[in-house]
Amino acid sequence: MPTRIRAQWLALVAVLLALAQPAAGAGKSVLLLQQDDDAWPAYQAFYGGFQSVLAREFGADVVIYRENLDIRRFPDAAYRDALRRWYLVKYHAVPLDAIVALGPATLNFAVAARRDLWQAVPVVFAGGNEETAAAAAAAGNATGLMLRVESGKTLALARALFPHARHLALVGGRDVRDDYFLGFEKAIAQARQDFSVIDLRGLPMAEVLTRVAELPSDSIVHYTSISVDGAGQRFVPREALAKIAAQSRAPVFGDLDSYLDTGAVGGHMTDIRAFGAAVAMRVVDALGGTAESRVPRAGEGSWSAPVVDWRALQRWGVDEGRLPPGTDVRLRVPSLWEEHRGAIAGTTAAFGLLLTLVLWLLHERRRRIRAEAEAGARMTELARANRISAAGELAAAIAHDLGQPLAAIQSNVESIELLLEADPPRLDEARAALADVRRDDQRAADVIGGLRSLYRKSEARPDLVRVDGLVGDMIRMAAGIATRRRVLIESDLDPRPMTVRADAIQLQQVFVNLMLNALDAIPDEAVQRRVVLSARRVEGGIRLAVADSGPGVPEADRARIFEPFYTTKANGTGVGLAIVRRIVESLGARVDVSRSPAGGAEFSFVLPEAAVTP
Amino acid sequence: MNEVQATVHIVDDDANLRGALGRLLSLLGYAVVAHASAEAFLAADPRGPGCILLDVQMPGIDGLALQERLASRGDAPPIVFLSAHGDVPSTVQAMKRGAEDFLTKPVKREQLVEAIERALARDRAAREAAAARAARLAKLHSLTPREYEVLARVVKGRLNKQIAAELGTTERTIKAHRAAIVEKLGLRSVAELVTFCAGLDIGPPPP
Repeated sequence: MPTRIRAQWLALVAVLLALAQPAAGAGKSVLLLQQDDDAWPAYQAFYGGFQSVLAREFGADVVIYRENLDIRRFPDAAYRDALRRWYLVKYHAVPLDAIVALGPATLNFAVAARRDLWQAVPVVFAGGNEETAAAAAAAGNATGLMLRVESGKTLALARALFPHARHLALVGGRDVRDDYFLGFEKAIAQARQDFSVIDLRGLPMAEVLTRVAELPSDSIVHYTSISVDGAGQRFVPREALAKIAAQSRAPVFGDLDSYLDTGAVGGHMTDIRAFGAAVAMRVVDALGGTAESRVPRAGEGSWSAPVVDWRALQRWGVDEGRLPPGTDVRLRVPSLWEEHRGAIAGTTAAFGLLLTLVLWLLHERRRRIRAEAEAGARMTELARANRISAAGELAAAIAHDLGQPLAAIQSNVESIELLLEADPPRLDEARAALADVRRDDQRAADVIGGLRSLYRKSEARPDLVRVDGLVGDMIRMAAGIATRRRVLIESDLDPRPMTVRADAIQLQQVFVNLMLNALDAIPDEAVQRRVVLSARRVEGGIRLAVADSGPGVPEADRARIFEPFYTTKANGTGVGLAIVRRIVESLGARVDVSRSPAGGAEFSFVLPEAAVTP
Repeated sequence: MNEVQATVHIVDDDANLRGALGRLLSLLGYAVVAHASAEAFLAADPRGPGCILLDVQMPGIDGLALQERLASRGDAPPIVFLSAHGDVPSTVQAMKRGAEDFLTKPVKREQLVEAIERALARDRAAREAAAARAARLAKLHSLTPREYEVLARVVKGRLNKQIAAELGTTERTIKAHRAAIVEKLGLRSVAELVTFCAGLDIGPPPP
């Protein structure tokens, strides 16, 4: 198959020949000379914008050569000469169409290099100020774009976000003019009217970090750029900013959008990528232009805009409402709601349902507790009536009220003795003292009289009392205590309504005392824990009883338990059953003690049923 | 009752009892001032020699509270409590806080007089002790600062040699200072110095 082999050969040679052909008329070569290390994010952003525009305009026909002069790090004139000669050798065979000088210091180098090799090649400068523009004009066949960094607008933004800031800390490199921050000084002069300025520029990084950490709380920080710090150490400006923002006690602002996502709040930030694109358009122009230029040309310099980092706003607690209109809020962290809308809605609904349930249960519980508390309070009141009608407090009160007049009488009587023993007896004074004795005696009598009237007041007022209702009341009242002591209180009632004639309060007192005794009778360790209140019709009336499941009353004690001040409880007063007996007897009945069906004690009495006229 | 007559202060809210006690105690030869409440007593602020006959139960500041207030003042006069009924907790509390006596109304004359006499004796003793202490302090003020420094070290048991080293001088000088101190304080020997300084707060020598 020799013919086929030959054909393949020919095709290969044709391809090789085509490749070896120099770039055809439409092909463009651009040399980008940049001032600094292109590891800097700002340079990469610039190149991104620059390259994309050229690629768009010229397609695959454009070749961009990039050279990093690094002439700030190596400012030596001999180095520049050597560098220039090196480029002459390197590019002698390359027909350049344009030279782009990125960075103010690069323009001079480019102009000088052009004299040797690329006489007719247009130079486009990028960055720099009017001085740079003038130098470009003087060199001829040169154009370019100045780069205005909008420090003034950045400070205005900072003021809008932090209206209470009074201090402005300036952080930057040794020489601002060495950076792109031209017009910065003017902005600072302006800012001095609103802020007291703390100038930290040109300090070694370590000191800058300490100082920003100690700033007054009402401060803001403006960061220009640190490529070389006060100690001569080199930094990537963006990384230097990240260090500073991490330490700073005050919000940090900057003017380049490559400074975003470092912890800085933001600023009126220059979009270096857009600037790169604009410079590329100048290159396109210099190369004769293309039909359609899609980058807006009017008002060059519009590549800066207010930009803030949403996370930094959160960190400093800035309300987004303070942002000037048109501010670009970036790096927003989507809220949980935005990310998981469905899941959150579902879960919330479920929680809502649960919450309602819990609230309802809590409400029920509170109602129950309140009812128990009310019942408990009534119980205490009755118990207090017990104590007062017994000894304790009353005795103390009587002792005090009688003690005073008796003590006065005692002293006066002794005085009278002395007065009468005197020679001659001091009768007038003795008489006065005697009058006092009479007065104090009356006082003592009044105290006793008062007690009597107190007693009279507590006399029974018989009335018709519904026994079944009373038993229900008593059980409800004791529910709290019963729950605490884990005792079940039950009622055993005749189904038909029962009425007796008695003082309702006194009858309650009887039941309270008997119920308390019944509850006390049940030992903590007992398994059977029951108290039964019963009201049943029997021969002769209605039998009221309180029975417990305790150990019962020993036969020997049965006679004594009704005696006042006799008690078998550790802290009993011994008056409960005495009162019960007194009240029941006042109703013409008698209290019986017996063994309850549950094996404990049962206290009972029978009251005549009262006729009720419907 | 030699220089200034000691006074028995009756503090009781009961006017009748106040009058009766005042009458009896005056007849017995005591100077008596009656106060209708603890507040009235505090307002009068008597500081002379004497004692207090104090009712326990009173509206406002009661007897125990007044005792506590006076105790915090430092120069409290001795107190004899009167109570309408022997309430054990109050009694214990009052006695713990240094009450002279706790009597239950009605109180017999002998008991009352005995308690008052004990209280007045205690007051006298306390006042004499305070006066003696004040006199010793006054004498201490007659020392020069240097002598005071030496004294502070002697009291702490430092040897002459150590004191001389600490103060940067010679043992002889220290001896001379000590002699001057003993003389100024009206003592006979160095041994008496320690007794003299007991209970007085002699500043510690600098280390």
